[in-house]
Amino acid sequence: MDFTSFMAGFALLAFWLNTLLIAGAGLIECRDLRRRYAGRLAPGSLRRVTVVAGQGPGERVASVASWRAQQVGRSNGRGPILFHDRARVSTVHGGALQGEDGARVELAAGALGEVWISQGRKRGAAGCGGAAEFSDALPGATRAAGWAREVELALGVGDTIWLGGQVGDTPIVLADADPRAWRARITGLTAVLVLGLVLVAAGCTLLCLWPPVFGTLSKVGAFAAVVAFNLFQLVGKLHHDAIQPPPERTLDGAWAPPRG
Amino acid sequence: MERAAAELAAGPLGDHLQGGAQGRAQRGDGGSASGGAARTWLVRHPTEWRQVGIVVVYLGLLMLMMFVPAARHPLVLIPAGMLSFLNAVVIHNHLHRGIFHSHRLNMIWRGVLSFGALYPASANVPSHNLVHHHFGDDGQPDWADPQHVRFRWNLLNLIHFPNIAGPNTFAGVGRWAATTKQASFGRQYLAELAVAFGLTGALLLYDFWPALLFVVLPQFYGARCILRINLIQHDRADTASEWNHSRNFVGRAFNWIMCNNGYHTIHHNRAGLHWSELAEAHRREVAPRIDPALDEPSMLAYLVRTYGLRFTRPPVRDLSAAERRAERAVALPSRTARRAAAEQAAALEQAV
Repeated sequence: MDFTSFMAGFALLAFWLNTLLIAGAGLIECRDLRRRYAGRLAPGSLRRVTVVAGQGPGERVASVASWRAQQVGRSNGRGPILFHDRARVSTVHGGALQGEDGARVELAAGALGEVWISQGRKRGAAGCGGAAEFSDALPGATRAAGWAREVELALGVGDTIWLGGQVGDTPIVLADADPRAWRARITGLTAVLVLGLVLVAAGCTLLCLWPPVFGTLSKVGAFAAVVAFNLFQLVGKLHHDAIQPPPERTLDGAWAPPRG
Repeated sequence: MERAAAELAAGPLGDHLQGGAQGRAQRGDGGSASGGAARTWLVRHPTEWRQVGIVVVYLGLLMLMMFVPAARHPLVLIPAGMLSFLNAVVIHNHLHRGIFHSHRLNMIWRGVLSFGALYPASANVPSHNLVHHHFGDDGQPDWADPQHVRFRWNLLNLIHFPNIAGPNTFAGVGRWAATTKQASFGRQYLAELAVAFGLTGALLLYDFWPALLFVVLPQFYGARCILRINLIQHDRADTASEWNHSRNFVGRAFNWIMCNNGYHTIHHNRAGLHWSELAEAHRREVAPRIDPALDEPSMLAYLVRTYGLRFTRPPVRDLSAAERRAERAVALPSRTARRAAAEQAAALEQAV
């Protein structure tokens, strides 16, 4: 084997090693997240409840808990305002929940809890209210420190929510949507990641080794492998971002400048 | 442009940014690196020729392997890989302080370095100068935070780290570019992309396999190693501290070839210092204050010990005692001031 052939084999090996590392990291992260919430999302632990009393503020009614993102928006004054999260905080304000069986659960203010708000609701709340709101924010956003704001969403009296875990135990989960859907979603995304990476890598490898090796198809396969090698890293990041539990998932976002 | 740069340099952080006489030499106003010495020809500091030499030899080896089949040999490829990493080190230094007096030459040099690394050198401005230097101070984790990797087998963390830090960096650079007021940044970034990928693409079209195996692979190796260095320098250090946030590699020969990039603590604390001044500043300011375990005599020995001879990640050390013991006699600007200074410096390099 000459040195060029050796290097081609080495490159293919490095491609597979990194492919498997990205897939493996995604798999391990998904497994760890499922384990973290296994007890709280187990049958018998997860129940549907209605908020019947709240000690926290709310837009229309008192709230039992809320999720808040502290954000900084920045702009160059010509384009959009881009936001990034500085902190994401769940707060249990206190109140009471009532199960479908009529059992009442009292929540003390400051109880350990994670507030799960669906991503669509967060995005809706974080969106720009119109040209006036954009104009008000822009001067601050063009300063070096940026424009600080908070996006807050609450679970209010009358809302039907999901409660996972026992109060006073590990942090309870208070969710506005079935948390098992999140668990199923991250499992599905991880399966797609692992299978997708392995299949694409296998396809590239097949082309690389297509006889005559170092021929035209082989070149196409090697070029595809280089592209895939870089795209896999991006896909791994997207997977990581997408499977975070709702309280930790990045909100960020952008306000486009008003037209005209 | 020139007026804006002068205003920046004359700002409240001008001294911190420019470092007195060194700064005057950098601004090309007749000062020099050694106080009253004559202005150096072409480069801002005589030691910059070492950096120019590294890049010239590196690119020479790439072209040799590309066009001379007999040179496709481990004895050429291995040095080329190492020099590719050093090319990325030069990017780091050049993006803190441009090598040449001429602004245009500095921008062209960024393009040359971008080809060597196969990524736009200007990406270092947001990713390194503005984000990494301030860790998680802005409320979002450093794009190259060691905590991004969590394999039990520590060697896998070292191999995998660029797979995380790379896309984090380029996503972050994209967002930063969309909001920066440095109008010329976007143009420069695109020009570097065009040079890096254009030249590499041309080589691939000319002769695919030698270009892929003896140009692109070394380029990738260097680019991934410079990302890995973040893990090596900060894993199990305390990024919230003032003196124990980084691991230093203090071997003299190592630092000669690495252009003093082994002295990382002082580089974070005083980013305005020229790289040639780091060894002395490390001995004066850092060595008496840092936990001695973070001053490693040899990077090779550290790598073998940390990633070769042990399976798991080293335990977290309690560095608070060393931090408490550290004298506070040295006036260190606050992190906020340092961040503002870094932003000014980046704008200055872009605009001068």
